[in-house]
Amino acid sequence: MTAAVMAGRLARDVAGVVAVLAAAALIGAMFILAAGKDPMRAYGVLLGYTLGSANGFYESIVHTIPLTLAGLGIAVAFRATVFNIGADGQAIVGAIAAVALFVQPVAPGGALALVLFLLVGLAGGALYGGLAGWLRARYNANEIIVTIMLNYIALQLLAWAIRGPVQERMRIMPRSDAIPRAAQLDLLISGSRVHEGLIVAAIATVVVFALMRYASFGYQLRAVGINRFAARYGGISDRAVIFLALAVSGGLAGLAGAVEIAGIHHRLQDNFAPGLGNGAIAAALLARLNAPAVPFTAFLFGVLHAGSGALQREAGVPFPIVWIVEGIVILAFLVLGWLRTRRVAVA
Amino acid sequence: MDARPSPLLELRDIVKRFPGVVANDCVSLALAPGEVLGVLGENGAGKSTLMNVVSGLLAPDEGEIFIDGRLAAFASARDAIQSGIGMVHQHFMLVPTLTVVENVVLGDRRLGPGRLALDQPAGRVRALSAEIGLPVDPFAIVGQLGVGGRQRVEIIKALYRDARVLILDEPTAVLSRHESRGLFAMIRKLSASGIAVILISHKLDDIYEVCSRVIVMRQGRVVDDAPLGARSRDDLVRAMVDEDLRPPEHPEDFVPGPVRLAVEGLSVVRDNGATAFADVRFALHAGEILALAGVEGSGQSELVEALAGLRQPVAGRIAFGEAERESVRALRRLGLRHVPENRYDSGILVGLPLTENFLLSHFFRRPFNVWGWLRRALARAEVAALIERFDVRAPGAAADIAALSGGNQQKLVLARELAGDARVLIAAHPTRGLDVRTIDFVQREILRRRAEGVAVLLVSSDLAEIFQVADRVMVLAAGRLVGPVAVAETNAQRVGAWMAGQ
Repeated sequence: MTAAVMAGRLARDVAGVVAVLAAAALIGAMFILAAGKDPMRAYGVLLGYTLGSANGFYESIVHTIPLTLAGLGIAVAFRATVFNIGADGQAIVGAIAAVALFVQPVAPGGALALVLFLLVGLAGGALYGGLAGWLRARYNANEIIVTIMLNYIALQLLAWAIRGPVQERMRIMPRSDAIPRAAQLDLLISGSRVHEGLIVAAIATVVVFALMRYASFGYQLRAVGINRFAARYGGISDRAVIFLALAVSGGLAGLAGAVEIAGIHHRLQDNFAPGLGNGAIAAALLARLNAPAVPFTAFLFGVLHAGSGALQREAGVPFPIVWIVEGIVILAFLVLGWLRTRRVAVA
Repeated sequence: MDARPSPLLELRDIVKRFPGVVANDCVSLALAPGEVLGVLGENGAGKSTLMNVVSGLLAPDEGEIFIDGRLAAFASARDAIQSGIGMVHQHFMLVPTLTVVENVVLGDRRLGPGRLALDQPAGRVRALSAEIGLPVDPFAIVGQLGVGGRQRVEIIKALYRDARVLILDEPTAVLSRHESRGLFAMIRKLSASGIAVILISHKLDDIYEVCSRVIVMRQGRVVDDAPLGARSRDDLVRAMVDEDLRPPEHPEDFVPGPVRLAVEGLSVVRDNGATAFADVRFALHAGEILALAGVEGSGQSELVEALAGLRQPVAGRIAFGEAERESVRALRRLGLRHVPENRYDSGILVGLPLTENFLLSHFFRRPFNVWGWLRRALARAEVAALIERFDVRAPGAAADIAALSGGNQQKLVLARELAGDARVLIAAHPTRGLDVRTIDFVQREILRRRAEGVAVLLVSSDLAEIFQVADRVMVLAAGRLVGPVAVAETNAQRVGAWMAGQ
């Protein structure tokens, strides 16, 4: 592929992203109008806070970190046409697993505590995603329905955990004790909440990119995603690949959950990563499932998530407008995908 | 003869081309009311294309269709149905979760909008079913019917729409002998009531059972058209497999090498659980081309899948050298190569470059895979070399495989499969749908590998090809294997008769 062709393709992709975002902003504006507010002022507040103030910008990055990690996971699964809608649940289970280990009387300490904390989070998410993967691979259970249902189970699991086995020793609030200092992510920028999770997200991006682009694993995912029968013919176990796709995807979501705890909350509590799953799907789709693009598209939704508070406070626009915009982005990609298959069928 | 009315259906000089092939080449045909016409021909002879043209699924490139002497132009299958053409496809087009009568009225615009009033249609289904002597319950769920039952639903669906020409594509392929007899009785009744029937079949018995006239197609042309009484079975087989069949010309004598693939007592079931074949036994030697013949659906696909590790046999053993019952990947590591029957559905990754398509068969082995990491530069160089050597018309290794013609895709698949240490090549219909020049190339390449000691299993329903290149031939028919026998000791007529279940 020549540089010119690649540049042309990149320009086209970026133009597509801009078009989708513009459409989402336009439709979002209609909802803001319907709520009796001024869309221009609302968007002005949103962008003014997130891109126009240091604090808002840092907050956008804070939201970008888990969205990137979970978004990478979504991209991995979607590559194999496995639709993981369960990032929320996987993040919760990952976080519960990591916190449960570290609030024990003899919690692991030392230099490797943080690494262990994150790895347990990853493992927890991988197991939870892998459960959906196993059900799909073994019983052909629809992973969309299974992962959505597992989200609800995870929510209840979290509610129970922080009121039961991992509740703080004081037993007052529905939350856990703080995890040891050694297991927390340090701040990266003082005076903000931006933490070292940004580095974790950067490393994950590089690793996922390498796996998808250069490893046999990425090739097999892609082959199964394009044509399961051809993949099987070539000696790829499509069942194993589907299982692994969901396990890896869930692992990254679990890592996102653990990072959110280790970097921001330092303890388990309700609703510690709101809107993570949908934001991650929107970011992965907008990135066209390309790992290196995910941090950037995740930042776009990080801006939305970070700005939603300001939107509500200063412009009086209810924060679910953010979910509407995300929903529109996801719908736009579903329609585009449908158009594309239609065009192929006609040709 | 002068008093004869204008034919019910007439085709004049129908031409239908696909990229690289002329599927129908100036086909003309007339059909009188009540006539039962048999259509014979090998796979790829153009029968299905012709019937798809008649039933409005394909628009002809040239030629005209007349119904009752009036020019008809079908923009869609709906137009053809309205003109009285009914077609029962080999693969049924029914909604399994709906009832019989719901399927019958599906797409019938005579029913107005609003609530479905099914009583009247159900009554007609009962009446039609009584008329043709095949019992059908209008309120049975289609998915719970057997294949024979579903076929009746298809037939009734056509008659419900007042079909005057009923086209049956390989109707007996899925039926038991008893069910076939019922079908033939029905065809006779329809014929007596003035409906013309076109029966496509590979089986001479079917043709002799009910047809009054027969046409034979070969390479897109009608090569014979005669009242059935005027033709012997031998005549028909000869017309079907090409009179110009030349004696096989092998580069050297067949000296069987060591056994590479041994199959014993092998039984395999289809996806629907029915037995595809039972107790199959043969050995494939190094340096030979063993042809597997048979009409479509006789179990060759299932046998190939079993040999390639893609389908679990229910009984018997497949020994690949020392190895038995290995995974696809393990078999490939041992040197098994497979040109799949349907390359588009299961042999290539549409939308990906040639390099990625090459890797499909090589991604797991050195030098292309080192510790789980792919060496794409090597693969690209290999593909570039293969494109050159196999004369694949492609802009380069980075081109999307979808941009290649079918013949070039097939060349790439063959090149890919023969790369590296091939010990056994299973080539399923490797020349189907290709133009003459590419066919020649593919056959020469297979012969060259034979000379190098590769054991080749060539699945083909083209007898000319089999006698051109194979050393031995075996036939799957009615769930049993006939042969293998040396091609020098048999002839096309006899193999054709085996294929037809004789």
